[in-house]
Amino acid sequence: MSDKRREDVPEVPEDPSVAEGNGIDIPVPEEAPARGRGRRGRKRAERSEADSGLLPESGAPAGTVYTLGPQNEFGDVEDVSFEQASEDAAEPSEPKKGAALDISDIPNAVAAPDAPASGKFRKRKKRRTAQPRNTAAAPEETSVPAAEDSAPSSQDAPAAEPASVPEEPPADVNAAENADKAPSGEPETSEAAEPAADVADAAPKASRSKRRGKRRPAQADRPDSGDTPSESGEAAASRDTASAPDAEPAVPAKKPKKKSRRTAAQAEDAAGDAAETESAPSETPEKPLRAPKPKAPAATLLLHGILSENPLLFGLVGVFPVVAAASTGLTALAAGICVLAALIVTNLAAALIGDRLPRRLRAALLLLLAACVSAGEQFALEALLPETVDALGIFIPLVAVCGLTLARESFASEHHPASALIDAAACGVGFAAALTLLGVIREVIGSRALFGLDISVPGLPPVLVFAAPAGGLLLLGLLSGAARYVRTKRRASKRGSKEAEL
Amino acid sequence: MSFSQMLTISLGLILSENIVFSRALGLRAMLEAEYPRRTAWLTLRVAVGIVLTSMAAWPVDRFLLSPFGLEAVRAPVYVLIAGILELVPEIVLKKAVPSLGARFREDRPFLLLNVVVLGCALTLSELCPSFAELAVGAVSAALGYVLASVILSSVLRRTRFAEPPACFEGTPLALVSAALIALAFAGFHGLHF
Repeated sequence: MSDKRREDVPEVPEDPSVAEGNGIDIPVPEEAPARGRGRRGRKRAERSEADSGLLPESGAPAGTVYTLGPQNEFGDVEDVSFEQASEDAAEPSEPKKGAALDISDIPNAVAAPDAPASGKFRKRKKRRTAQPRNTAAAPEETSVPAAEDSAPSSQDAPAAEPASVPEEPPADVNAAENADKAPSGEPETSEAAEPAADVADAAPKASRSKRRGKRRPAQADRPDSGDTPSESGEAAASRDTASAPDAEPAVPAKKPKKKSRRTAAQAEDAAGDAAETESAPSETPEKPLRAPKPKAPAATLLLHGILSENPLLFGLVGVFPVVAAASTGLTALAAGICVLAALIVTNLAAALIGDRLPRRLRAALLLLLAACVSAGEQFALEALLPETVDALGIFIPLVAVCGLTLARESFASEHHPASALIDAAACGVGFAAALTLLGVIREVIGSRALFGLDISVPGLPPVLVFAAPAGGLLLLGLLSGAARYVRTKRRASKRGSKEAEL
Repeated sequence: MSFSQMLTISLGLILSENIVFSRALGLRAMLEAEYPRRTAWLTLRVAVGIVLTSMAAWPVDRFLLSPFGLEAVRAPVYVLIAGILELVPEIVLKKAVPSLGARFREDRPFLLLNVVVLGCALTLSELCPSFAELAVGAVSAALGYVLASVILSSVLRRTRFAEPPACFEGTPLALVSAALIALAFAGFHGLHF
């Protein structure tokens, strides 16, 4: 189901205001109602689009911005050889469950509507894999001459790729966005890609770069398209930015993609796979969904996890049991470290599992994993800090199942493992720090001690409430309010300084 | 089990050792509650989940874990039990009645696989050695949970009309309110029969 939801993004005309708000009628009668109708309705809509060829093209008023750039696509159909078109038509109709019906393929499907997913075309695909040179040489009369020679060579001799790509890492990071903005004579696509980039997830990016790859004459990319369409698209896009002399400077990406080196390596692997072991065609369409997971910038993650989005002070995810239990500085520190360890393990596992499991099953599995980690933590605490075990009691196991685990799970599963790891570390450290602060305050006020050292002042008895769970909650509420106050003030001052600059 | 024992356990778990106010279990769901009717429904289901999971976990603990001194792995085992209790009927139902299964939301909260249920199961398996005690304890804990939910939701409804400073709106205010109620409930400590 989660796969389905992700597919929604490329299905709809990606600028909803165009489709619905502005009263521009798109002659796709099934399209708008189908969206709310669940899986069956959506499938029917897709089928009707593919069959009728009605997709945005006909009847669209001049100047309408379509993300999919229908005219371009149709203009391209002539450029693409029949082999290519038929294969594109064959791809979406592969009966693999969960495979994305990529809308970028539909116009080509219209160009060759009679091309089924027959063995004939699969054979062609195989043959082309075996002889990438021929196909690369064939469409040389098509439009983009710049990176002509580099593309097939990069596929044939993959070692050339990593040498060329890392030269422009910043451009490559934004390659998918820049590629559409690159002045290659398709204003509609480039205009329309911008709103799409806002909502873009990995899947639409993949589809877009796939289109780029299609336009590219270097069709040697195609054999591995099943594995890494977006990577090959990315590589093509980076070549594109390199070849275009007046390419725009790198715009900060909203969701930066993987590093180019990794991309190149994956492309290599994929090319190698495709060349050596011809995988069954039913396997291939599954993978375009697993487009490279985006990496989030590490500094932002750290800043968010530790300060501006501290999970204890701002997120207030279900950590209250731990808060209630951690009544001294040492206990709080131990609990915080337990949370950190559990969070790192579960976040990493979530990133690795990704979409391979249904969401609920994944969450249950992660909780089980966290519980296992917590059992280990309990043994470790008994050995290292036996005095905290009595205080925390059943809360050590509950650390694992506390809401923080699941709160970060959705982030982790959609991002690269490295990002997930950094996020887990940041959130865990932020949580542990805030919890320790809370514990220290509670210990100082509630029992007049600091990490076990007696700091009692004569005539000033300890306020026992703060040692009780109620005190913990009270203090957490107050601290959270204070933290929010500070954050609001800071943001206001930042905004004020920006306005002053303007 | 004598009547006074039963009363001690049940009153203790409902009032003085209320799982919400003395252990802050399940507080999160209550603080976020916006729709009273939906919350009440959810609370009742969680209460049923507490009873079910505690009872399902007892034999496992009694015959598999305790005899071998494996109390430390109670948590993963209980998570497994709760997960099975939660997910297996769901998957079976989805397969058997696809139309019903399609109505399930993917991101709905776990009913059994949450802190309250697991915390209760862990607490009760430490507190109650016999099954009768555990049954009484589980029902009392569930009642205590429902009671806390009713009290908290009515208090939080009133705080919605208050005008706190902007930074205190929402969860911080709810937390402070919960803390004050917890303080009130702490007055039941020392209740003995």
